[in-house]
Order: sequence, then structure tokens, then C-alpha cells
Amino acid sequence: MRRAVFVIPVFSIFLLSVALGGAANGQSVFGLNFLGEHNFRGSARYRSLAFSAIAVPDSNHAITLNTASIADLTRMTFSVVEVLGMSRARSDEDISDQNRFHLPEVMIAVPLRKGLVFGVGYRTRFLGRADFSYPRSVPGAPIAYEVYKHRSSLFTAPIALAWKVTEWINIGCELQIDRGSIRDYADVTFNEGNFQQVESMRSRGFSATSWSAAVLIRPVGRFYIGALWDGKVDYDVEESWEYSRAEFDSTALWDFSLPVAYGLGFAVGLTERWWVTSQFWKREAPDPTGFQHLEGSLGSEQLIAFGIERRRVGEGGFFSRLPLRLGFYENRWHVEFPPGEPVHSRFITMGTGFQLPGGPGRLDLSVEVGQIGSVDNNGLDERMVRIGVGLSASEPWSRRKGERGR
Amino acid sequence: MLRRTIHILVTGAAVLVACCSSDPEGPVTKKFLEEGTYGVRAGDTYRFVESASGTTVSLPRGVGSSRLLALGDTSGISFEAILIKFDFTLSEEDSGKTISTAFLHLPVRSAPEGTVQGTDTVPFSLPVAFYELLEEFSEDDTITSVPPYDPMPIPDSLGTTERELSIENTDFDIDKSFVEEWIEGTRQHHGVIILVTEEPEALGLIEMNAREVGSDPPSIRVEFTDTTTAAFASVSDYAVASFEGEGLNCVGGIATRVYFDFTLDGLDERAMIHRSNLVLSVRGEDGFGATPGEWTILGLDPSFNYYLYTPQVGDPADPGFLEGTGVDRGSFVAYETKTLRIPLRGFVRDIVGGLRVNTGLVFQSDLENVRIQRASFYDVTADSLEKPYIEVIYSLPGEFAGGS
Repeated sequence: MRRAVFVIPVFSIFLLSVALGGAANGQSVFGLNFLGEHNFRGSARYRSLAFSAIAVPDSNHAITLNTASIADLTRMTFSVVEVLGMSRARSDEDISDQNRFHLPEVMIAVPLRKGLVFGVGYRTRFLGRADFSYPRSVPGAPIAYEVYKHRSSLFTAPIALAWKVTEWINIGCELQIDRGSIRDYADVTFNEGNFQQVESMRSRGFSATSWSAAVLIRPVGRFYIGALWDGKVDYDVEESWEYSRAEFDSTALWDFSLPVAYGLGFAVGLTERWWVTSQFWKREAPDPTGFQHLEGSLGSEQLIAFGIERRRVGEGGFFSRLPLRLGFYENRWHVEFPPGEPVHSRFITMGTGFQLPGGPGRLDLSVEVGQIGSVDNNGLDERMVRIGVGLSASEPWSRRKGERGR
Repeated sequence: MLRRTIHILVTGAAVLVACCSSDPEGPVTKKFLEEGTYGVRAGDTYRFVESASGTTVSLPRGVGSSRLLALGDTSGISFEAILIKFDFTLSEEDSGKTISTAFLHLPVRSAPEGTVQGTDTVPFSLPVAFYELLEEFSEDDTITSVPPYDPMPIPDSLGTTERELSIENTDFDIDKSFVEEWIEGTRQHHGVIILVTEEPEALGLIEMNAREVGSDPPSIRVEFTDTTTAAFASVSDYAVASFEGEGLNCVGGIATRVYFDFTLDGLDERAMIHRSNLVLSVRGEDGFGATPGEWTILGLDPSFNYYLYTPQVGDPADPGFLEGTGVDRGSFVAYETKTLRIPLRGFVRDIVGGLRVNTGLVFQSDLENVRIQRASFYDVTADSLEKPYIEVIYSLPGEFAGGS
């Protein structure tokens, strides 16, 4: 009861913040291109370790970098993470301040029996959102405006199973139900009465099923190796175009493949409290089917990440009981802008976490400070601060006394 | 301590979130548009102009229900005659009485300013004469020319037939024998016609109450030998007006309409229409929306009320020309407006989309059966800036790169 009194208001404030942020824009301005900005998985703990902790066992969170990690959960665990990004995008001449929200990532994991955990959730793979307009002069007419609206979200609903095979090896796999859409609106409007807005819209609906597998191995002592294989996603794409003149409307079906991605990393416990983590993640360049205008502008995406964590201890002063996390990652995007010039995200990350009062559960915070792109190489950059809040609540997964023997 | 810290952090995050706002992303995203990586581009926007040839089409109408009866000339419209029919039903108490004098009362309400001569102002007047109509008329008739009348004018008691109608001179002595015979029924009374006998020195209208005003109508008033009086009011009255003019003229109440014919063949077949207009340059010196009396006495709006429709058939000789689909309805001040830009709403959109055949547009007074008003426009022979034309502002469909 004491725990519920605490969790409910915290969670309510958390959801309220997400709801209030609904009108804000999403993701980096670079996410306007291709599928959007790649959203790496992981709760606020993993974000504050710069997505480097692929080889970390976790008995508190259901949202991990490595599916096999959740095999260590001994309680039914619900995890959610929400990220707020604040950025300043700059080009040679212009500046734009942006505040954005990611859709929350959620996961619920249920231990079926000791060492065998089933999970299901939601996470966004790619996300892009933008609204912008430009004036346009038309001889003999009032000023017109090109109005653009971009909404992209490719997400997956993972159904996960993780198994602690032995004390030194966990394995996990996911059946991923991949869905999503990319919608682009290109309208022309006049801020004058009696002028009708003309609308052009393209919508691409993506649908696929894919698999991923992961392993977490502890060869010796405090040394862990983690690996993730995220299978090729063969999307069926249903594309439709809609215009103010309905006779121009049309549809098309085509296929788009997101190549296999794989990640490999390690975690070393220097002491009981101090851990060093690292991950290398890569996905080969996708075929530009459906994105022919990006021919020659799509490269492989990769992530190189490092982190260091001082884990909490159950005794000592207030700060001794707080975990401290620090990390750095560099993410090279698929999109090259201009062609041949990769777009890099470089972020320094930090964070901490709190034990939820009254029982098992965590509240984790992360802060990411970095830059996407560069004015010199890409013509524009975006300096960004991301604040992540992750909440994990756990309950023992057992029958009540009175139910036994029934 | 821990709980308080968590609460502060989460609440702080919520406040931060609630206070967030974003700039437009426009300027910084332009690079992605210009270099094509975004792959989406709104279609270009254009203004299409095509001249429209106009024709004035005459469709005789009449305004029998007007509340004022006018006589004179204004803006090319000649109010040639006023027809009045009186009800000579005598009341029982007046039956058998002998008429000593009879007057025709014309309740003038409005007239142009008089002319100053020395210290006096001479009121504007029209020389008129009264005649007997030879045929019945009805306010519902369309009367565009003076109907047949007895050429012998109705004289006054002294035999004079020439009268001066002005705002100060509104009661006219008439030979009582005419009235006696009309009352007794020994003389056919189809009505009285008031005609202007000479071209006046200055143009202008003298306007008087019609019976539709409801009080003080035109009437014949008599005084009996016993000094009692009686009045025989108008039961039907009508102002006969005609119009002759060159160029594109739309006249309500007479009536003429203007037919505009044009082609949209040059318009891009992919055009998505923002707005289309029929643009007319107004010859303001000839326009009016209401006569001076209607404006100042009745308080009617002096705007010209128009109705624009696309006819079923583009041939003015075909009855289908008179019917069609409304495109726009509105008003403008015909003597002040320089350029009239009439929105064509869905008309051009329907033509471009193949939902409608282009049969042109007809511009008419929306008060064609109610009020006499005039609007005139420059035609295709005018300077290029003043010709009638169709204007279409449109964008092409947006372009989306990639796809199947």
C-alpha cells in the first residue's frame, strides 16, 4: 500500500508530462530523411551508459539492450522509458530551437519459472516528425506558403523469451511484429479568405515480422560478453498518394528490406561496484528501394559505445547508495548528407537511479548531451540535450497462500 | 529524503516538459528540400489568366412592385411613363353628391436639387401631361415601352394640358367631368398615364410613392359641393423604364444580363485550384444600385446586387440559357468599385475535373425583378488591364521522390 501511494503519483506525473508534450515535435531534424532517426532500445539506465551495456545482466529492468538479460528477472516487471530532447538546429544562416518527445518504450516481463522469462512490449525503431513552411511568391497573387508535415514512426511489438541456461549463459529471442508508417504532407496555402488550400499527401504503411536473438555469456568472474542479432526486416509497403483532386489518387505495393543488424559488446566488473561496458553495433546499408532519391546517400549505420558504472550499495550515505553512470557513443546514421558525407551523432551520457520505496523497482534518470551532424560536413548540425526517465516496477510472480492447492 | 528527491526530480521534469516550446523548423530544413534528400516538394504555384468575351443579353423584365414610381432619366435609363389605375368605388354616404373640383395627387418624395436663380431656388421639374390608357395593365406585366393611350390629354378645369411636376407641385387640377364619368362608369377607366412631354434641360428623376408604400399613395381627390371630400387611391401603378447603351451593361429591372464566354484549354490539366475569379473592370460613371429616392427615402442599400451563374446552355437564344447553376452572389458599389473580382468557387475546379462542361458565365442583377440598378464593365476592346478575364491561381500536385 505504501508503495502504491508512491508509485501512482509518480507514474501519473510521468504520463501527464508525456501527454502535455504531445504537441511538441519529435526527433532530430535529420530524421526528416529516409526512415527517420534510429531509436536505440534501452531504459534510462542503458541510455545513461550510452547504449554500451549489451553485456550486462539485469534483475530490475525489462527494457534492456540484450533480450537475454531479462532472464535474470525474478519478478513480474513493468518498465517504461520516456525521453525529452531539447535541441538547437543550426545551418549556415538559420537557427531553430526544438523540444521533442519520443514515444515511450514499454515492456512487461513475466518469469514463467526461475530463469525463463516471457516479455512483451512496444518500442520505436525509427521516428521522425516535423512541421515547417516557407513563403512563396506568385506574381499577381498574395503570398503563398508551402506547408510541410512529416510523420514517421516504424515500431515493433516484441514478444520475447529469455532463458538462463546455466549460471554463465543466458539466451533470448524475440518475435518482432513490425509496423509503422511514414506520412508526408506537402500543401500549398494562402493566408487569405476564399483561397483553398491544396493538399498532396503520401502515406507509406510498413508491415513485417522479424526475429532477433541474443546471448549473454559470463566466461569468467566479472567478465561478460553480450551479442545481439536483429534479423532482416522484410517490410511490405503499401504506398498511397492523395491529392485535393481525388482523380490523382493512387496506390502501390512494394517491398523494402532493413538489413540484419548485429551488436557485440562486453562488460567488465573492475570491482564489485565499478563496471566498464562497451558495444559495437552495425547494420549494413539498406537497398534504396522506395527511396531512389537517396541512391548513393545510404551507408551502413553503426554505433560505438563505452560506459562506466558505479553501482549502488545498500549502505553508507545518500550518495553512496546512488548508482552513477557515464558514457559516450558515436552513431553513424544510414543517411549521408550530402551524399558520401556521413551524419554522426556524438553524445556524452550520464545518469543515476533510485530504488523505489516500499519494494522492488527503479526510477532511472539519464542525460545525454551531444551533437548530430556538423555545419562543416553536413551543412547543419543539431546540438541536443536529452533527458530520459525510466520507471521499472516489480511484483513477485507467485500464487497467494489461499490459492495454493486449488 | 529519497522519496522527496524523486518527487522533486519527476515534478521538475514535468514542469520542464509543460513549459517547452519549439521554433518553426522551416529555415534549417530547407537544405533537405533543396538537395532532395527529403524527397518531398510541394507543387509549384501559378496564376493563369484568360480573357473572357462578354455579350450583353436583353431579357425584358418589369418592376411593377416597386415602392417608388420614377419619371425622368438617370444613368442611361429612361423612366418614360407612369401608369396608375384608380379605384373609383364611391362610398354610400358620398353617393349622389356633386363634385365641385378634382385633383390628381402625385406624392413626390424625391427630386434632384433645384437650380439657384438669383436669390431663389427653382425646383427641378419635369413637363408632364396626363392621358387615358386604352388598355388595362397589371403590375405583374412586363412593360418595356409606353402602352397605347388616348392622345387627347386630360385637361384641367381651364382646359390646360401642360403641367410641371416637381417636389413642390404635386397636386394637379383635372377636369371634373372625367372623374364623374369614371365614377359613374360611363367612361372606361383603364388607368392614367403620365408622360414627360419635353426633354428636360437636366437629367434627373422625380420619384413618388407607389401604392406599395402603404400610405399617401397616388390618388384622385375630389371635393363635393357640400364641401366634403373623397379620395380614390391607386390600385395598380407601374413605372415604364427602358435602357439603351453600348458595352457590357447589366441592368436589373429592365433587364439585361452579361454573358461571358471563355476557354480554359490553356490551363494545366493537373491544376489544383486555390481560387478562380471572374475579373471585371467597372465603368463606375454609369453604375448605380438604387435610385436616389430608394436610397435616401426608403433607405435601400445603394450596392449593386449581382448573381453569377453558369447556364445550362451557352446559347442565349436557348431557354436553357436562363437557367443554370449558381456560382456566386454578392454586391458591390457600382459607382465606386474599380475592379470586381468575383470568386468562381468550385466552377473552374469542376470543369478541370471533368465534372462540368464550360458553358460560360452569366452575370445578372440579383434584384432583376425587384429593383432597377445598373453596372457596366469594360469589354474585350478595352486596354489589356481592363478587359474581362478569368483568373485561376493553382498549384500542381506535390512531388514525392522514391516509391515503387
